[in-house]
Amino acid sequence: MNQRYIIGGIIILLFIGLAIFSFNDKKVGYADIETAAKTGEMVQVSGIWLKDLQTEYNSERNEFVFHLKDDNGTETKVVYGGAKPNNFELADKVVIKGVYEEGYFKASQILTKCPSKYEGKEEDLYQTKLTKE
Amino acid sequence: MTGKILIYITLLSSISSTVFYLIAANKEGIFTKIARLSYYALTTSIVMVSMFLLSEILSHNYQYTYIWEYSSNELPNNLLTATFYAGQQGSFLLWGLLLTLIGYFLMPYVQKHNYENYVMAFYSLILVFITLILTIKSPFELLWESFPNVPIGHLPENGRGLNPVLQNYWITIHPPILFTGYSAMSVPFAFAMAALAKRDYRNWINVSLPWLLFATGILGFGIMLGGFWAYETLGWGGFWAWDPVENSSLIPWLIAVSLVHTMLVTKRTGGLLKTNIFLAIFAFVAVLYATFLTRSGVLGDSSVHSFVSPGQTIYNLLLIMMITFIVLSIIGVFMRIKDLPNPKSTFKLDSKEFGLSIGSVIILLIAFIVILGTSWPIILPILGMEKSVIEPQMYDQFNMPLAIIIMIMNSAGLYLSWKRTDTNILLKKTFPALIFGVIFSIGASLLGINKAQDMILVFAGFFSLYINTEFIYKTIIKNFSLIGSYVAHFGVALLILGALFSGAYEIKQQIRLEMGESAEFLGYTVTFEDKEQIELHWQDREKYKYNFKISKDDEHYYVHPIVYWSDFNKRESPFFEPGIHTYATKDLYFSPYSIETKYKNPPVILSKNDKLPITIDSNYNIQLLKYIMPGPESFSGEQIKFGSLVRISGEGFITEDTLYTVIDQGSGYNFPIWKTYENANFDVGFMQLDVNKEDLGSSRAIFAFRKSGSEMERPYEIFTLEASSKPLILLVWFGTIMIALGFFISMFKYIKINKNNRLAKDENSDEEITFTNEQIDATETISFRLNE
Repeated sequence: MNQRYIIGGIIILLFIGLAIFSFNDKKVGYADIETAAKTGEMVQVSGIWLKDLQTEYNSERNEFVFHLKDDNGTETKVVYGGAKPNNFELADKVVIKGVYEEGYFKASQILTKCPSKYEGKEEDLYQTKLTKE
Repeated sequence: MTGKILIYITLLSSISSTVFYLIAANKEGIFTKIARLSYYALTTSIVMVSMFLLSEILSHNYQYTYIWEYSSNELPNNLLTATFYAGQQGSFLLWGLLLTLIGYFLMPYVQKHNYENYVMAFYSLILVFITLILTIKSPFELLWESFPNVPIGHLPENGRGLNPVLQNYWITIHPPILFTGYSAMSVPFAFAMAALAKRDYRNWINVSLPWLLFATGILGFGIMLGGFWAYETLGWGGFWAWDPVENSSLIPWLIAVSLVHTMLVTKRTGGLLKTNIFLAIFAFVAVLYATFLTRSGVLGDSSVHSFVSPGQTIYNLLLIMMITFIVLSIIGVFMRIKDLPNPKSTFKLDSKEFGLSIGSVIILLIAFIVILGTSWPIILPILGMEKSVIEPQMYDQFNMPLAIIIMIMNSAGLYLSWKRTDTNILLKKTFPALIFGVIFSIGASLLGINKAQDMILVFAGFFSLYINTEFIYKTIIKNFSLIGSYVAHFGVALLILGALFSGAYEIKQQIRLEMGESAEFLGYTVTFEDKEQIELHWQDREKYKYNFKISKDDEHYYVHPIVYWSDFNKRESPFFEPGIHTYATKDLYFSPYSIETKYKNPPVILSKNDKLPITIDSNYNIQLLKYIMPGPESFSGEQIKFGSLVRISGEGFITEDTLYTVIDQGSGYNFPIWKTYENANFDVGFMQLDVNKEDLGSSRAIFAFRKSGSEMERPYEIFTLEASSKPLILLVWFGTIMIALGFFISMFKYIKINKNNRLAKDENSDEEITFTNEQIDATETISFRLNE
């Protein structure tokens, strides 16, 4: 074996080790609302948007407020420091990233599924209407 | 039926092509002919499948679930064509089509270079998998096959249509180019596998290099177009967000770029034979991995793009496809592990080959970072740890030092000589660039670049620009076709500088304006003047172009953010497009956040028995008592009168009255019959009924008010947008274009060299040319001269 390969290999391994180490340091874990409230850590929570509850963007405070039900069924108010994401209504699932503060979840990011692809459901089939040309 | 049968033919012919090419590899003769015929059959049938799907789309045959899901009567022809690949099924078909077509041109090429059987066998094997996926996830599935309750023969009048976000010319350009890149990445893989099979570990590099350069150039271009689309139309604010979908297309590209450099080393020194084979396989596996990540739904909740899961079968098939090719490659390598030559060439630290190897390693490191980061949510659960994702800033942090090293190496490295370099000469040659870099770095710090690492990056960038310009200038006089690598290196420096300036030194500000109002942003006055409706011929949308006047001193111009409502989401919320003004030195970028409609005296919404103050004169209250169901007298023509009994009360005043709203079923509009009351100087109108389908009794009524006898006040809009200044973003676009261009120039160079080489070989056929020393890479000769 060539010595340089070994040295090169060690450098690469060190680098990857460093990457894994710092990835682990800066990771954001998945959690449910309950855990988020308990730990107060920065987490990702996935759930569905509760359409019937207050959903509005306040442009003066640049805050988008909505309510989310996580996968375990726990509901929470979500306050996001930004505008409502495009396609928010189209999403069948919402993932929020942030921390749980007193009484609400303060989101720093909202991911919505999914702007580019979404498949048709049977009930849509009977709702298609002809638009007049 | 036609479509499905055709897809089965593509599957059968790709299997047949693979099998007969494999047989032919050991036993020439008739089998090669059968294999070729099978491949022609594959080409014909997949072209027919595609034409058939396209014609069904254009003729609006919504009996096919796929067509119903993604297209509609309203779409113009160019967008209709694009719905071909708007969903999973179609994009697999597009991938298969492009693969097949590239293979169609590959076949005569490998025939000439005596590589046909094995290359085409492995190549066809890839197509077996793609066509297999198409038989399972077919774009020709009928509605009643997808949904068991739909009666056979049901033909919807219209399709659901294409997501409005995708409705622009980018969707007709970006995906086909990206998929061409993905498809072309299969060629170096097929060559590497054929090289193992043929025990020819060196010549395959010469033959496959033009294809690799093509694949890398076109994939890079495709990735860039995606970034530009996100920036220009989707209003994501930037061109790159380290999103899994973006990352997964970047990984194969990075590996391919690394491979280009190691191949160059092999061409000159004969070393790195195994590395080349490994990287060619790795680049292709990365394409499969990218497909797996984006198509299997595995990253469902960590990407903005994320796709709906396609079902377990496709998930498994994609996984099986990936594993098959990995296992096949490992078997291939192990079968030849003893046979693979171990050249005893040790590279000296000051040699060009060492420089190129280190360069490749660094590019690979970036690839590893991106793979690790993107796969993080998948890796952790496999290791039994809690799932988590990586913050995008991590990528920036890691890549920063690597970017600096890359730019120093892609310029100073050009002055290295093969075997060994005179360090003094190297220092002397790079000295002007050093000065140039330092000057610009200091200049940048005066302009506001404030972090040490950013200053080093600026230094490295201009250092690289200087040396590569020097090389381009000196080379272009002699031979244009040799400048490819310098052009690409120049582009890399531009891209990295552009990314730094436009990303880290962006200035953002939120602006909230009513029509007619102005705000200040970086010394510019931003005025919300008015809006006009556009695309009026479309009934499925309501689209407005907003006119924002930007002025500074004597300079005035408009930017036009766009806001529209679409039937696609039942007009529940608007879609936005940014308004951009491009200067040579920066972009001013206005990205809509929200649009609010307000009234000075807003209407009130009442449920039964609710009582609220009248907004125009709060001395009075209005209470909803009950609804009056429409009787026969309420109907006239298409209009229905719907009534509500209300109580209006104020100081010393109380009255109960029935207010009517008229629903016009023809237009779908409501209008109120206004009522005036004695002593009160306002009118009340029952605007509309907000129907609660589940419980009609709890439906809500909307009432509006106006000054007696005058028009109702018009609502006013508040537009919130994020204004940002993105310095030197143009460098990003120019840089990526130059990178792609560089690859194409080099591709033509190697096509020419290969052709000359083959002709020379044909003339003296007894003289076996295995090593390409005779056609010493002319580029390197020039760098020798520059060294002297």
